[in-house]
Amino acid sequence: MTSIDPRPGTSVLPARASVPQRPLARRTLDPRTAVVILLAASITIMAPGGVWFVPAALVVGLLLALSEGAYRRALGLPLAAGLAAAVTYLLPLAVRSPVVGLFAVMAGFTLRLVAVGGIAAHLINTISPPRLTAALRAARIPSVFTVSGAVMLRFVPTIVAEAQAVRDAMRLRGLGGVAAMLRHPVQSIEYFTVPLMASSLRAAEDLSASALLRGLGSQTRPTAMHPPRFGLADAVAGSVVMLLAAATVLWRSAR
Amino acid sequence: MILLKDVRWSYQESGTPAVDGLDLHVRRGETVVLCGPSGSGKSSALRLMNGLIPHFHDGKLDGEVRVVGEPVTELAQVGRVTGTVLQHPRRQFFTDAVDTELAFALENFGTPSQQIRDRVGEVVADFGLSELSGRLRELSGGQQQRVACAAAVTHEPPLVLLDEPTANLSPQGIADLTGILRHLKELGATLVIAEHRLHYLRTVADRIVVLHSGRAEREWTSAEFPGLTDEILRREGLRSLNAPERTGAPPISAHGPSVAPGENPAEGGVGVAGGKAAGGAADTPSAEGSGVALRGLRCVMRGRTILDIAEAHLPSGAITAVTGPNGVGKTTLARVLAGLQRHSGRVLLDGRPLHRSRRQRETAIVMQDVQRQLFTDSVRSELRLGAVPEQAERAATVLDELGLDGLGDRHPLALSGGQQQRLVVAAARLSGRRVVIFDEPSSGVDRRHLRSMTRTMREVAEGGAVVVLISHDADLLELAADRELRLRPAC
Amino acid sequence: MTAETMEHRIDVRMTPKDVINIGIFAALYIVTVGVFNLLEFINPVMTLVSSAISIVAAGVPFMLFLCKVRHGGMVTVFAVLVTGFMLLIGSPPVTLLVGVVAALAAEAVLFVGQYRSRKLSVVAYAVFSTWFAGLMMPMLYARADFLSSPYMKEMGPEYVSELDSLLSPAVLIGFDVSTLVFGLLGGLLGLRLLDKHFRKAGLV
Repeated sequence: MTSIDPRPGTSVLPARASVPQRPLARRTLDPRTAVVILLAASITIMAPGGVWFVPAALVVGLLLALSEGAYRRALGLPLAAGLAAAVTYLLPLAVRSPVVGLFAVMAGFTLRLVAVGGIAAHLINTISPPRLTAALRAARIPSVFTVSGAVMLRFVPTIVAEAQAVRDAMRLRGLGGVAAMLRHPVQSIEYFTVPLMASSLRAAEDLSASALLRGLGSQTRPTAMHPPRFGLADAVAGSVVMLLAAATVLWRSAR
Repeated sequence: MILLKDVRWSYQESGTPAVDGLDLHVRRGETVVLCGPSGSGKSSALRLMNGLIPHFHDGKLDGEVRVVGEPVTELAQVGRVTGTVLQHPRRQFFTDAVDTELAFALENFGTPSQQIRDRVGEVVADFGLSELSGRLRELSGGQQQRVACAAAVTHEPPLVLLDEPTANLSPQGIADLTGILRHLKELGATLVIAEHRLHYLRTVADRIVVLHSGRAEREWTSAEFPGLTDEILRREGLRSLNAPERTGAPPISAHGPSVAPGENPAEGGVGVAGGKAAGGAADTPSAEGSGVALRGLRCVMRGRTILDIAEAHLPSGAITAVTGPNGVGKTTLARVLAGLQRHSGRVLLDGRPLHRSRRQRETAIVMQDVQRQLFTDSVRSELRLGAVPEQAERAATVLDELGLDGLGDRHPLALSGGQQQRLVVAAARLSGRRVVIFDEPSSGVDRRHLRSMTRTMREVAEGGAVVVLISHDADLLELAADRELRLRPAC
Repeated sequence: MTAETMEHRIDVRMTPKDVINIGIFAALYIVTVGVFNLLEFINPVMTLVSSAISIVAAGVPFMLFLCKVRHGGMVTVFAVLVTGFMLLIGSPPVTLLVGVVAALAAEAVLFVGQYRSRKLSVVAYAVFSTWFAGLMMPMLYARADFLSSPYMKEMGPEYVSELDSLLSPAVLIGFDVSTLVFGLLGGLLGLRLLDKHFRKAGLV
């Protein structure tokens, strides 16, 4: 190994680095817009008669996927929706049996989930937890929810990694497997949850200590490095959603 | 700056006091190192200074604590005047990017937006962070610790506290950290560092305070450092004041894109073969048949080749160290050996190809966080779980050998970290595992434990197992490694 | 200067540490539910089995969480986080409503037990678990929508009534009741593991 320059300040880069960029923030939706669109889609679609709004939501999901360059999702979304729609509406015509009918009802439910899921996927992919938290704060959501919510979003990936490690450990001790899970469910739950809780809570201790010391949840009203602001993208998205909703209402009354 | 006066503290869950009559005065601008064997109370002393004791941990506190002239009443208040860096930078990060992490404290303290942006830009330039554009978790340990240090001082606290900051760092990362500490010192910060490793602090520290059972037992000023022999430090249970000299273990026979070419100084029996073409390495003296052999091993995740080893042989009866920078596939290799990871190519044990599911039954991993692999409610039943019946009666002997005698009825999670590691090793032995992998076993371990850990690994190897050690810790590698497989990025 | 802790108080002033704890346990709860729900992908029939198992398993983090609850409102905030997260990943919004109502009811149960009663803490978990019913609720209107769709008219009334009985509200109410039962089991399991493991390990 070569010797290291002991002064981190004297790096090879330009002495005065520019103020950190906002990498995605400009081009993507403000988190508040994204959440409102998601909620609007979710509420209308999951309500009685919500199927009518499925095509509109799919179009929104498709446009969002294209806007972020997620072409695989842009392709997969209509495919999944088409498949679910086929099982819902075409299969019962082909096979006349109540069991198929049951599947059709489930597929109908899946179709709604796919439509909402397309929008949810965009939100999850483009909005980092800190931005979401800052936006919720700006929307005057009480701090109990924003602070605990931020901690939750931060900690879920950590626990998922812990869970994978515990699963590995179980496999090495011969405790894993779906068969064992179904034969001794309670025992399996114990083998899985005890190490998961023990190791996660230990990791949580460092996280919460550090967060508390850095003022998370304190009395002071927090500020944001980049306060969320609505931009052109939000206006465009808002108009498109309005248009699609209006089109849906017209289409529905025309039938 | 800091005043501790006759402080006593015991954690709620334990009866014995962790800090017992501690007196300590840290002056402005001073750099003080707190050291001592595991359990001597150095971490607790640090927690007294940043208020985590008593405002985060539950227990009983007596005595007087003053930080920057005032008693500690609230965490956020003391947080404004202190910056804290912990062992695992990854665990303490709250966000996933450098700039948001630096801004975190300032945002919570209500600093105006423009001021946050200016200050973050300043710190990024000052700490040379602008090249670290990726996600925090993908950085090397040293880079992560650099970000953690920067994040601890963005709100310009006069006092910086570091709790074993090198526990998970490679020699390279430690050198990096030394530079940062020196820089902080130049900026006029007061530093308090709880640490086992002393060598890198030799040029930074103004004072070393040795703690024993929660009390300051001895104190050395920088003028006295040259007189500190290894002998004196050993008596105090401390690691050496001189940087460990890695002579490097002879490389195993291996080649492939992931294998770093052997560049070890010609030494011992390796000299002749060491100079061969790229990847050319010494031939193993042991028979090619015994141990683990890898043939055409490739691991691709999300289109990226993580690991690519054309051929390698890990001998049985020896400790083979797997080294290399972060993200180079050390953990992936461990998971391949254990049959937990899909791959192409073959893995042979004693000359016989073994399928993945078979390897799961032949391998044990002692994980970095051992709590992940303790499943039952007593040491005894932990050993019974998955043990070979005919070996089960050896349980008592194995416990005895690993210094766990008399603990049979204790709950595994209530044991100390070292004891938990040895319990996992005991279970691996009783179930007759042929391959035992230790993943970073020495993070935050003092000299005494380093030796006992080496002894444990040695015994497992002497039992005929293939022992694989994944570690950054130069001290441990020097003590334990018989052979070395150094990895490099596959592409 | 002596720090006395672990006293249960029934006010709503949460400390920053409490608020952070809610987030941590909500994350543990969500991952536990998620992991056991993965079984569902083996085959669709497993959907019901997997949600039953996940209700039981999630009793473990929830009962750990109750050990940290010192103020009224913490369970409700927990419920908002959990169901809000479900909302973000595309679940029906009704779930949030059902979750908050279930949590308020659970808090009432805890209040009756002065936040100390072991038995009532098990009941509180069972009550809280009924939020799972919210996930299935749109099935009710999906069914109505579907049965009245023009396609169904072509299938004949016999077929429609047969399908109706398969998916009757009674079946769905049965599912709701089963969440209570599995919630009780989960609460008991959580309590047992608290005594068997977590207390001895000093985690609570």
